[in-house]
Amino acid sequence: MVVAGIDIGAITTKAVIMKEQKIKSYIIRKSGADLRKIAWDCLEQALQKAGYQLEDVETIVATGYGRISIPFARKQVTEITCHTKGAHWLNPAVRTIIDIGGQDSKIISVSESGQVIDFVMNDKCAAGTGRFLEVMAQALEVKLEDLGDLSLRSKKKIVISSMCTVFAESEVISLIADGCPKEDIIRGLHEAIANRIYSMAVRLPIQSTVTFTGGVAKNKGMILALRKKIRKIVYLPPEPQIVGAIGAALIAHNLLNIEKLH
Amino acid sequence: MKDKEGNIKDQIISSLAGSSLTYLLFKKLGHYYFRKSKNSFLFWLDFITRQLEKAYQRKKPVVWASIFTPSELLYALDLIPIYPEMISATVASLGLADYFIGTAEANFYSPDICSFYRVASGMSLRYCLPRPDLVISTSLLCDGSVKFFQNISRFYGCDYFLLDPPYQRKEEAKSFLAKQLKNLARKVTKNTGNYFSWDKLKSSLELANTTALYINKINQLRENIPTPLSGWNALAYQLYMYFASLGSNEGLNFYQLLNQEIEDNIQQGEGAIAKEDIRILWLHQLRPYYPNIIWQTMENYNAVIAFEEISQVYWSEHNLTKPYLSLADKILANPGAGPLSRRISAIDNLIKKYQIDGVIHFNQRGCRQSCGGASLIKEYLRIKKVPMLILDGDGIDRRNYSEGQTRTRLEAFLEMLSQKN
Repeated sequence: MVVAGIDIGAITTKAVIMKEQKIKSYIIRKSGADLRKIAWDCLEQALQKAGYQLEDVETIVATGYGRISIPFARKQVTEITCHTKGAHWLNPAVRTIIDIGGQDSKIISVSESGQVIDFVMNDKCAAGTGRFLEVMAQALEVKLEDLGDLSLRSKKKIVISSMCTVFAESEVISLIADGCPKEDIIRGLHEAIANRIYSMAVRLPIQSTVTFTGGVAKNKGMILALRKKIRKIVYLPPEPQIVGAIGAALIAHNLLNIEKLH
Repeated sequence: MKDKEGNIKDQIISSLAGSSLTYLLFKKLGHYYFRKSKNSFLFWLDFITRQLEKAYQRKKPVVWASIFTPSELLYALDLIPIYPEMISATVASLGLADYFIGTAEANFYSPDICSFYRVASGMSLRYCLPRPDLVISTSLLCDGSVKFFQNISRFYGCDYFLLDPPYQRKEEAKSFLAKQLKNLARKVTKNTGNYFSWDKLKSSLELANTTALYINKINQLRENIPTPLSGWNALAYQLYMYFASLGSNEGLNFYQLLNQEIEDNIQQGEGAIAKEDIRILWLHQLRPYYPNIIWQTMENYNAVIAFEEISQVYWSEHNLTKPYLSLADKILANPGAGPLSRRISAIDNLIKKYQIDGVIHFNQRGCRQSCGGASLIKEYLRIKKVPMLILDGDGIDRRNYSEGQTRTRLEAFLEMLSQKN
């Protein structure tokens, strides 16, 4: 049976097509303002990539902050549950998930059977999220995807004291004006986020194996900063951005199974 | 505040507030608008309308009091009590809080001050509440309360009385607080010219005792599954009566009526929601009072607030021969006072009594007494394997409420509980 999971995030929308619990294709695109349209487009493109028609899809589950805007989904499930399902499916040893998304960050404790034990989320503030790094990349005039590699070239530690996106931006501009190398500034930003995430994560017991999900997990510099801070066994998914969508597809699969059982 | 437009508006509001016709109209409109509501709700509506009317018409001396000031004593002293925190909640449910918050903040009240006090401050700055003849507050739980009420007494130029209970519930503490209460009664009668009567004090405590019996009865009935009274409602008008009516005939009548309604619900097998799978214990004495998605989201997951920690009868029956000691003991017995272990122990009992599946701690922004203990409660409940969600928000100031963030936290928590069930 073919199922789809769509994760409509604040910055990107992800669609995953699965058949018999195997990933057939996936698509990642910018979310934009029309969430319904982007979710539909992602689904169509992912289906095309996998060589399926819309009629082949038996169930769709939506997740992410835009999940309630998707009328064609059979069920809406939070990203916390979906990331847990996805991460457990990818690696059953995962006990802690650190998901740094576009507008929020979450730490999730996972049971052996792949269920949510507890979770914490950031407060209503962009600090420690993908949006924070996006704004800083703009201030530094570098591409978002280059932040990771650039920070790995850093030679000197710089401490960024502001975590407010607005104040941190002016701090970064001041550092540039003082002639600080961009590499060092970026490393400082990564370490500031890692500190913030760590202080949130220790509210739950951080247990090995830890996995990183969400778009920020593609940033090598960020991962290095987090690894140094948490000092646990880490599993990095091959594509961290689609873990939530995988979880949504797995829930869709389970829904069908339950239905068939009854 | 000194702008001309503001002055005209304030004068209109002030003269409307002083007229009996306004209350008659408010009552009629209220009864029409809420005609499908329970009688207990309409009773509360009449109660609050009558209190405000009497206060505006200066039928008796008006006292502004904090919610933990025992209303039994205020009724015994022949005062009309106004509880600004509770009025703020009512104002927020009418969608008027933003206006008063704006007024308070324009007058240098920091957004970090509890929004219940910001609204009440804005209302007094706009002269939208009956002027107090005296102000009483306790230093119990709310650290903002003392500053707010002291400021109010300065604003209106009236006397301020502070009840300052010690930390521990010991005999010496009880005597110390009883002396404060006795002193307060003496000063109030002297200042207001009201005649102090022992019989009146005893009769007020007797009424409070009978009312507490009904509250206890209701709390026992609420152990039923499906829950016959949702905590969401209990945290609204019931809460108002809980703080503002004990020691009055209206208080007793209200709880008798509520008790009857709950008994009827149980008899008819009527639950607060259509299907009940998840039972929640709500921590903190408030909830958001502006339109929000919390109740609806819970209902979507067949979850109900089975009980809320604030509605407990935590005090012993008043001893009519020792009224001040009894009232002192009531104040000191509050599970939220003293060491956190007392609150945790009370929560533990409620979890067992109401067969709770999960606990939600509502973290009111600016409320240090409650938020400060939330993580320790969570730590304790983690060991007991009771899931707990710390839900940040604001009961009144909707600028501190984000629908998406609240939805994700709440839904994830309910999904977690659904898996467990």
